[in-house]
Amino acid sequence: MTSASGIDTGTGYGRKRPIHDERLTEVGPGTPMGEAMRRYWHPIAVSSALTNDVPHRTRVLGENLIVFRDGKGRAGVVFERCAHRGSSLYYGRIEDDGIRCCYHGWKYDVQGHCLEQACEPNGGRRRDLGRQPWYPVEERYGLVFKRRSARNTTSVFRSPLLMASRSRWTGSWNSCSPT
Amino acid sequence: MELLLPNMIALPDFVNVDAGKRHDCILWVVPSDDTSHRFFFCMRAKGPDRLHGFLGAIKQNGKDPWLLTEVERQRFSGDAKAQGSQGPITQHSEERLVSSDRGVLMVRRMLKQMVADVEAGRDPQTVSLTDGPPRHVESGVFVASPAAID
Repeated sequence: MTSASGIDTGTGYGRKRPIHDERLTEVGPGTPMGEAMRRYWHPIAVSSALTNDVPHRTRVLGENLIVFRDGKGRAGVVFERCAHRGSSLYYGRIEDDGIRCCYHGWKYDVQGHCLEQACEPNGGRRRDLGRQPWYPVEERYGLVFKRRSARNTTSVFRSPLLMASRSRWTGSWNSCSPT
Repeated sequence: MELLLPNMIALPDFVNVDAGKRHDCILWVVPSDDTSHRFFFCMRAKGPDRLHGFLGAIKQNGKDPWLLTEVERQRFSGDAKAQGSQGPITQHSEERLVSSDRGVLMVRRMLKQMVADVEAGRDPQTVSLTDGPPRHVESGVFVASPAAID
């Protein structure tokens, strides 16, 4: 039975569309929280899993990234899309001094410098213009950390607990999808 | 448990809970994008037992989460169900926060301060351009005396 006026209160009808606080939750490039989060170092891979066999693919703060270890043992992180024509470097080949795209053989070092453009005369006379976007990395506590820029920055979080430890266990897992 | 801005957690053993035990694990919750994240952890432990306890000791109705029936998921709903069912991003406009949500409000306020600091050109909390001493973290299992609770 309805009230005398015939209007029920507190029902679900006619409510405004629910919204979330984007300043608190959205982390892509250029967003307020995304810019704040990029001031910090974030772990992006487990060091022991990063071999110079095949590249790793990951997604951090809305950016698709490739993490790899070159033949000299240096860790690097670059955009997944090759600066040449956009092929995924996930299918690239790791070499002694960098990672080579599977399509036209452009090779980048751990700082994104283009070392060679395999199909161009002399390995590409203007290859220095073909730089692959990259990020600085630092390995600590068995993890690979990344930040937006190594300039004007503090070091990776310094934990007495982890610095003093001889026996450490590291790992990672992805969040479950919501049910 | 202790939270360090922006996304780190210092965690003691939550399976074998002993008073006075300190945290032995640092966890990072790294956003992949707006609706998913990846956990990274580094743990100080003598052997793999602590690791196994950390990753798989919590069971509902004696089962691993993925083995529960639909009705068991309803009757033994844990953190993942409570948090995941809020949606990919919770609807802040529909919330009714009360006094027991003080911790949530504190964290949100600190995160918003972090955003405001960066927008104003300041360094946000825990970012420092000079290398100070290692950061001391107070985290562990503590027992409050009855007097302290009063």
